[in-house]
Amino acid sequence: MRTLLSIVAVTTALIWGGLTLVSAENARFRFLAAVYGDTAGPGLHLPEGVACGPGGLVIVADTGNDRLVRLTFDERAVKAWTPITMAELTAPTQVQLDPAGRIYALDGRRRRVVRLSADGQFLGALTVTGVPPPSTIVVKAFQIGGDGRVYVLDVLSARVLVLDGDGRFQKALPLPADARFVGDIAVDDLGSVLALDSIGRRLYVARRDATAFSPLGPDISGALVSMPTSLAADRGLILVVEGGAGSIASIGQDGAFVGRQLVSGWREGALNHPARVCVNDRDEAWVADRDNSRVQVFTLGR
Amino acid sequence: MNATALTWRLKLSLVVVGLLAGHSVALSQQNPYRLKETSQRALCLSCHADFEATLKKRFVHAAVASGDCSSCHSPHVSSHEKLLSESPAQLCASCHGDLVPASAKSTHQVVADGACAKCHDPHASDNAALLVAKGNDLCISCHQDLGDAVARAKFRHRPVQDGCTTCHTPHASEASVALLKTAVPALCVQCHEPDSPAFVTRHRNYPVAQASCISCHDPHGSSQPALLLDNVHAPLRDQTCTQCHEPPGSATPFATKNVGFELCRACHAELVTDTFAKPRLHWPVADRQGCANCHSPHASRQPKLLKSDTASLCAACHEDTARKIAGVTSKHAPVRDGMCTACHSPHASTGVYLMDPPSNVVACAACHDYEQHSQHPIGEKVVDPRNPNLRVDCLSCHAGHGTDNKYMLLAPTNIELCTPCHKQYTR
Repeated sequence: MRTLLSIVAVTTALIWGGLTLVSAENARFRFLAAVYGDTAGPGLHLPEGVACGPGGLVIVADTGNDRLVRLTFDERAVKAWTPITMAELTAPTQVQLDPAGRIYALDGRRRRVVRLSADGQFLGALTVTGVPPPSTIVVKAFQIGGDGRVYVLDVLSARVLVLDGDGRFQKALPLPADARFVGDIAVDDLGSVLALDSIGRRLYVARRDATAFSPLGPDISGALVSMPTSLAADRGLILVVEGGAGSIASIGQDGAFVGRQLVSGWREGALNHPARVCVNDRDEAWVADRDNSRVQVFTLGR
Repeated sequence: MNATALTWRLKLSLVVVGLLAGHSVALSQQNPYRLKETSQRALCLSCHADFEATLKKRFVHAAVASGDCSSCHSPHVSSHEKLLSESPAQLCASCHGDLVPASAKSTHQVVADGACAKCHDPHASDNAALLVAKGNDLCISCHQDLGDAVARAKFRHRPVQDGCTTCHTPHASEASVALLKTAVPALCVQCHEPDSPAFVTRHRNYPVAQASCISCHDPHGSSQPALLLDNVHAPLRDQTCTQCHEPPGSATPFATKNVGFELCRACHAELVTDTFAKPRLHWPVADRQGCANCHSPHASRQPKLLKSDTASLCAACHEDTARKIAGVTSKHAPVRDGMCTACHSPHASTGVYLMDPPSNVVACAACHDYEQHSQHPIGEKVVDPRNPNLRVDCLSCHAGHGTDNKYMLLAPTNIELCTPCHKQYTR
């Protein structure tokens, strides 16, 4: 019994020690490749979204070209490049993959979430049902949780709507009253919802079963050098994209600012108003490098 | 000589010596530095003779009146101007240190800066409290814009004519922002009776004594009737408050009938529809506050009912951009003039950065005749050698807001600017 307890204690210590290590260290980005497009069609144009899937799968929201691009990346090269264009999806600004591999994209012009099959067939717009009034929803951003639930940032009613995969209302999380403008949300591996106050430059968290947001860690407004535009959460790491600075800030699980990576510029490895970042299971960070009209991939050291 | 007589003489001698020593000490205490004049005032005036006129003024600083010049000035050397013994702020605070309460909600900037002499003459004045000017003239000497606006106004709020200090406290206020003696509306109802029939009728039965009077009225003066702010929203002008608000008798009379832009859409349908038809929104338009993030829903001093001048309004959120702009020496003229909307659409756009034309070449051409400026190829057909997905445009060489380089160029020298594309000229 004592031995068993010791093993549990050591394991727990290792797990927590490991997580703490992740939260306390700056994520290190090492440039791997810049992806501009293929030779057959137009190159990327002002892409604002990127989603990471398993096995090197990446979906790019190629906003300026009114399309998605499905690509696979392996051995430092793009292996497959499939543009997905359809009348039902214009100016996509964000893209996500659900656990079953379906593609969800935010239509920037109509401000609605549309669903596509894994191979890019249009499945329909996400119809939100059962939501408390007001009925008008303005979707600024959305996320798919690990359990397939859809989290929608409804800026008009200052709330995050938690929906099932078919758009049925589960619950609503009111945005923090002291937040000045929540510009993005993320869902971490434990099911906590993170909210980014882009103007107040603060992070808030609502743990999996919470009914409200609370500030995450200390005030990091002084540490962020430009308006943070989006965030991503991956295995204990929170990445905040600072568009104007061309950089990505690392935030620990405790909400403390850990460090900043990458610089503004046009050279490969530098960013010009990046819009979004995602991290895949190979610890590759993909960045929608909007004003350089490309996506870039970095190995992520933790 | 017997022992008794010796003792008596010794005692007498000691008394005499003691008296002489005491007199000497008293003399040295009266003039410890052996000044030529024992009166400090007389001594200083022996050189600063023109100061006599100052001393004849109606109000004289107590330290000056007592002739204690060295209470503020060091007679020999100092690290501060005018041989002051400390910095002006520290010096004044050493006696008047209790002017700003710890819980002050607002502090006059000059007080915070320790620039007491901007309002007070440290020596003497013909004005009470040693003020350097009388009444409102003093305030207007800095608050010139406000003074001009009041002078232009057709109607002036009577307390303004009575003096700024009727409503404002000059140093700091524990009660309110803007140095108000009492917060609005409590301040206003000290004079205006909100229960009077005329007041109630004028405000369409809304309980405005609980509201902020200055969201509609200019507390200083206006050319609008009832001292309304210069630009009045039509429903306020027409007194059709229920267009936007619940009826005055409801439980929540100030609640709006809808949220955010949905409320404004009722009248501004075309604008809202156009805005939401564009792919790139200025997101505050769509949040819970909606239009009221930037516009005052009742009245404003600014055109288009803006809450403040454009530059301040934008900088309230885009603080990082404002900071960057403030730091550069070569600024784009509209940026310098605070005209953000010369290039950016405030509601929504088809392009990034809330810019509407298809490219910045077109946007810049609205003001700049490029053909007279340079023959460098630009436009949609000119691929940027640095990146196959980019085109050469104005922002390939210039920064839209400004830089520290001439012509807002991105690099200080032509070599640095041109060789990223023209690699053959790289040294």
